[in-house]
Order: sequence, then structure tokens, then C-alpha cells
Amino acid sequence: MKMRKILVLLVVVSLYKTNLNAQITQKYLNVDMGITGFVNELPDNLKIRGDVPKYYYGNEPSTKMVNGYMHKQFLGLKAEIVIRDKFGWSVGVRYSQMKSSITKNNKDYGNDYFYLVTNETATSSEYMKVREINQSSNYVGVPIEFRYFPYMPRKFRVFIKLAAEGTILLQTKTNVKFGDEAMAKNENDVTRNISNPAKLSSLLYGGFGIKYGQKSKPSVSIEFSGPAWFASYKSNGMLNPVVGGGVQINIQIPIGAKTEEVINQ
Amino acid sequence: MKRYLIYIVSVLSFMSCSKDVDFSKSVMIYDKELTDLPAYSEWGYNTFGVYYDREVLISNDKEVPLKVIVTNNQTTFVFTGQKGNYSYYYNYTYHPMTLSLTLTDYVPTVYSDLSVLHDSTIRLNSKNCIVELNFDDTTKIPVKVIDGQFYFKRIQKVTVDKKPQELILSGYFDFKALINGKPITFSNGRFDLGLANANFYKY
Repeated sequence: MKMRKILVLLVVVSLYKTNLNAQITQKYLNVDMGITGFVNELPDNLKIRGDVPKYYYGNEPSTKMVNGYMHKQFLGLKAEIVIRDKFGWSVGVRYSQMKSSITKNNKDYGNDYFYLVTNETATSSEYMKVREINQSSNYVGVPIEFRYFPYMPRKFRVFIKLAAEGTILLQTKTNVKFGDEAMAKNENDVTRNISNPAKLSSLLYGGFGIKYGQKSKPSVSIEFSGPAWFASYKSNGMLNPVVGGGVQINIQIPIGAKTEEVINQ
Repeated sequence: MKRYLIYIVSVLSFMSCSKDVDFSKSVMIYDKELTDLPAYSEWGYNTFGVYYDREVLISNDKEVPLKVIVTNNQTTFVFTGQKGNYSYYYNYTYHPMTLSLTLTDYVPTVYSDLSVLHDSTIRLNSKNCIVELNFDDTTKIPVKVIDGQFYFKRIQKVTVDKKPQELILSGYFDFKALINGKPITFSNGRFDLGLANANFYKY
């Protein structure tokens, strides 16, 4: 909620500044790409039987022995306006792919498969031995980013960022690797227990980084993006993301730089 | 004829199934409140535990926690564990303790027949019920139950990769009893045990 208020405030300040000082803006075209990993939790509806470690002395608490991995990779194009060399706001289009997987930590546990409940009634339970569940979802989204450069232009510039991205799901695919490969024909028994991502989702994230390059020449910036939160915790597919962090690279090409310099003189 | 054929096929399929080794292991997950006892579960973790006054009778990974013995027109559930909780360093000097529950005039043919006990309660002070204790594999000590019950909350037939695996018996129990004339309370008992051909004996 606090983050949203800050974002709204930044938009208002930026637009106000844009109107008052339209003649001292610099426009850029940004190509951005990056990767964000998410700390995640298994959803409650995924019922996985517990196990004991390989070297078990009978006195250790037994925990769930599966790991969930979740990351998002993306590539996009943004237009950015930098106002008075301090504030930059950009909007664009971005293609992203979210990959999630659930695997057994077989370093400590003997078998490389786990037991997943695929169907259950009061008096029966059907399990399947599963090695891995992978889900891949493709999105197209609109990122809106605000950057603040605390220092005046120089070759290296640091900045902080607040951003949001709204996305639309294009396609999602789930596949299962079974303990017994002959069970592959029963993939639907597993996938019907796996949640699919929602059609619409949104991500809020911050970040900080360094921009390298002259003001009116092509430049590159690298940034740590995070923390990142999905606005809806439970609508992102088979795993529930808690918080994310990652790396983003921007290649920035100035547009209309000469005009801007003449105006400044 | 068709009914008999289905019956024979189902009996043979349950008898012939080989149990997955993971389902034979004990997976001990302790209760967050009653930290001496396993948490109640319905996963077939092969654990049980009960307060025996202020001591505990709890399953371990050395004894088979449940054996069901059908003989002489009666069925006995034998819960074997140890007296007192685990200790990391003194794990090897445990004292075995067995709690047996015998139901007279109940004779299942195969282990899967026990599924009829799903969501049923056995009053332990009833005439067709005998409770016994056994410490350190010595003679059985008869238990005169004053009051108490054994509740089979859930009994599930389990399949793994579409093949029959076992029955999972989960539930609660508690009772007050006289043991050698001394009143003892068994409280907060819970069990989550797998039953397959390997621990079902009929003779």
C-alpha cells in the first residue's frame, strides 16, 4: 500500500515537472532484459508425502524434502523521458517467461522422486511417484518504471528505481517427469492438481543500479532489481511467490539529443 | 459366480502387491504442542504415541510399529514402540513396550478387510475387547480398562502408480485402566500406521 502511494506521488511529481520544464527533458529508447528469482512456497493443495533423510537416527524432525524453484526472465522495449537529469520515467512493452519447478532434494534423501497425492477420497488415496514438475508461462506486459538519479550527469551514475508491471498470460504449459516413466500416460492425473496462473497479474518492484555512458550518447545500465512482489500471491501458477530479486540490464539510446542540447544552451 | 471372481481377483491383487520401501519407513514429525508425541497425520508415517501417565509410549524406527494378528477367532492389533522418548546419544538402549488391543469374534480374511473400521470407535471396556501391555518383551500384563476408546478416524486404501500399496490406519485413543491394581491414564494417543501383507498375520 505504501509502495503504491510512493509510485502515485512519483507519477504526479514527474508529470508536473514534465509540463513545467518540457524544454529540459531527454528522451531515450531502452532495450531491457533481466532475470528475477522468487523465494516461494508450495501451495496447500499440492499434497506431498514427507520423508526422512538418508542418514536418519530416528530422532530428527522430518521435513518436506522437495524444493520449489521459480524465476522470471524477460526482454522488452521502453521509451524513457529523463527530466532535469534527475527523474526518469519509462513505459514500454515486455515479453516475459515465468518458469517454476518442483524437485526432490535427493542429496539428503535417497530416491530422486517424491510421492504426490493425485486423487483422494475419505477412504482412498492415489499417489504417484514424481521426479519433477515443470511449469512454463509466457506473458506480455507493460512495465512502468521511475528512476531517480541523485547526482548530476557523469560517466557513472547511480540511480534508484520504483516500478510496476501489468501482464497478460499468453500461454502456460506444465509437464511432469515420473519416477516410473511408464506412468507418463497418466500426466493429466498430476497436472489437474497443479494450479495454472491467472490471466492477469501485476508485479511491484524496486531496484538500484549504475548507468555507464555520456548523457546524450548510448549508455548501458546494470541494476539489482528487488524486492519484487506479485500483487496477488496465489495466482501465479503452481508455486506461490513470496519475494523476488534479480538483475536487469538496460541498453539506452538517446532520441532527439541534439535538440535537447540546443535548448539547454 | 461373477461376484466370487471379483472377490478372488481383488484378494489376490492385494496379497500380491509389493510394498514400496518408502512406505515401510517411519517418518517422525513431532506435535508442535505435545512435543513428546508424533503429530496426528494421515500419511501412513508409521508412527504412534501416547502419554502413559507422564511417561510416553512411542514408536521408533527399530520396531515394527503395528502388527495385526488374526488367530483363534480373534484379531489383535499389536503396537510396538518404546517406553520414554528418544535421546540422540542414548538411542540404542531403549526399552521396548507393546500395547495390544484384541477384538474377539472379528476375523478379517485379508488386511484390506479392515477398511470396514473406517470412522468407527471401539469402546475398550466392552466385553469383546482385551487390552494388554508388555514391557521389555516379558510376559503380558493384563490391563483392566475403566473407561476409554480407540477411534479409527480414517482408514484409506492406498495405491502408488495405480498399484495397491497398503491400508493407512489413522486415529486417536485414550483410556484409564488398572495395571497390577494401579490406576494409569493413557492420554492423547494418536496413530498413523501402514498395514499391508507384510504386517498382517493370519494363522
